[in-house]
Amino acid sequence: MSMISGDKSSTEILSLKSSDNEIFEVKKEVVLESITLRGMVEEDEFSDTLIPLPNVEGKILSKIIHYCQKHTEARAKVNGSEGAADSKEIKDFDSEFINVDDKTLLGIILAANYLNIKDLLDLGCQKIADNIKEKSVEDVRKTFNIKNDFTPEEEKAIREENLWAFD
Amino acid sequence: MANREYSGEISGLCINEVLTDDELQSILSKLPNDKDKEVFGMVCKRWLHLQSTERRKVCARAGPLMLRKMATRFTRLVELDLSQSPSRSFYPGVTDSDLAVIASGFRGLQILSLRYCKGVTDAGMVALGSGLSCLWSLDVSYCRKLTDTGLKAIAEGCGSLRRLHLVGCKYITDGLLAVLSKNCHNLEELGLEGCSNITDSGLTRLVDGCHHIKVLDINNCSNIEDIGVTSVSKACSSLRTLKLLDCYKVGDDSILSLAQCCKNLENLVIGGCRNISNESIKSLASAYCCSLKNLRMDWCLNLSDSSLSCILSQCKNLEALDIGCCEEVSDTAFQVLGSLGQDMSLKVLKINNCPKITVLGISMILEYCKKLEYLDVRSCPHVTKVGCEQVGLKFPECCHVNFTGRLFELDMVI
Repeated sequence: MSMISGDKSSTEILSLKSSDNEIFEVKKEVVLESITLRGMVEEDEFSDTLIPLPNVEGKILSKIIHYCQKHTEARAKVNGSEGAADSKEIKDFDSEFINVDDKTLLGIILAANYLNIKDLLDLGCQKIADNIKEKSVEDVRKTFNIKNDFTPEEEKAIREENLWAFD
Repeated sequence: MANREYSGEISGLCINEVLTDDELQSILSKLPNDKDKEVFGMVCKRWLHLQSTERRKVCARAGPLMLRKMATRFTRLVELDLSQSPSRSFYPGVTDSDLAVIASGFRGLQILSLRYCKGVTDAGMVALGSGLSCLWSLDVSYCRKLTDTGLKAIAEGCGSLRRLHLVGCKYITDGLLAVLSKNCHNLEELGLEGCSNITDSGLTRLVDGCHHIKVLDINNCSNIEDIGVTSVSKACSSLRTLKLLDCYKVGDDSILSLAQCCKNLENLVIGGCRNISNESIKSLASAYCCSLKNLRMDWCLNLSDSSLSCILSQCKNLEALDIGCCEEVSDTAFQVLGSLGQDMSLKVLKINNCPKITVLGISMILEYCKKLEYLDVRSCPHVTKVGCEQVGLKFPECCHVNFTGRLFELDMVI
């Protein structure tokens, strides 16, 4: 993602309003981490006013802004090159950042998808995927509190199909 | 902070009530391991649906009942591999009724392999032709019962066909090539090895409509002569691979035409084309100085030291060369290697049955072909393991040398 050059973007502040009416003042360059918001902002509709985000509650939005701020800063340090994303500092930040309770994690994933922040969505989904890897089916159900809606016959049929259909 | 494990039991949160299919699909994409994907699919019906629709390719050994189930489950399948092994296949094997299920159940199928499914007949092909309009790749090699009737139905029904392999389908005639010419203008790869009824007029007709052929395999189509090959070279300038093994009637006209028209040739098999003379081989060498990578010309009895030298010095990107049984070739041909001033890119060199080559030639080869991985010197009377050791020849570690009878996997590379 390239940074828009020029003074206007580096000092311009935008306001984001969460679903529970909390208002966050954020630098434009940080807001642009979200492809969704970038689309809104570049159409110049919201340059002076509030951007309402009815899908995202304050607690989650605050975390997301923190993520975007950190990543924008890290990228600026390496002058916009792709190397920033790989540095140890950012990796440590990311793993600490995503180490949250279940409700927050799911909230972050939903919001990252809605706001189209690819790296954050990948981070959240990877965290969940790590909790699925190498587990048995029953353990996965327990972990994610999912009810088994297959009948024993249906389960047997799928196991059989999986024997016949491989890669 | 310690790594927090997700625990739905404690939080009481059910992931399925919070996330949409979109996010669940992103999570699935982060599971590269097939076993984990399988587990994902068994968790609940919603996850099964996501996992099944994500699946693009399936290999299967299944009868019609199982195929029907797979059709309902894997709705977005684009590739299906039902190929068998040449020696053992499960009984009764893939049948025409299986193909009928595939034709009606996997409407979006693009790639299908039925290699060695010996039980299929024309009726199965007709079913596929009428159902799979998106099919662009079909491999029915060694489905020996197939005739023009079945394959014509494929050509007529699958207009976007790009890749068709019919190795060993010996009943195929020029008639099929005419239909391909009419309907399948995007054809890029055609494998007709062993379709011995094919003639020059069939090939000429084929390339009348199919100008984009890049890979043509007519190994063992012994009726083919220069007329057919020149038609192909004139019409298909983007030809990359041409295989003419044992097409013994093919001669200089073909080689000269190829050198003139097909500037991007990378792989050429003219083994057994014993009428090809030295002069045309030299024109080959100068035409393909950059593109040629694999050249098989075993049994090209006219091959002399001077034309081999031309190949070695001019084809800078040559990786595999087979000049087995070219009895005129001697050590002299390899002297040119010393004056090239560059590393040879040759990885595979087969000089079996070349009675004039001695240990001297081998030492020159080893000196200048540093990337050599396989050297075949079987049945060279003057090149033996003992002989090489006696003159102190050191074979590099990565290079396998074949002195005696056993076939090695790299023999099949060209």
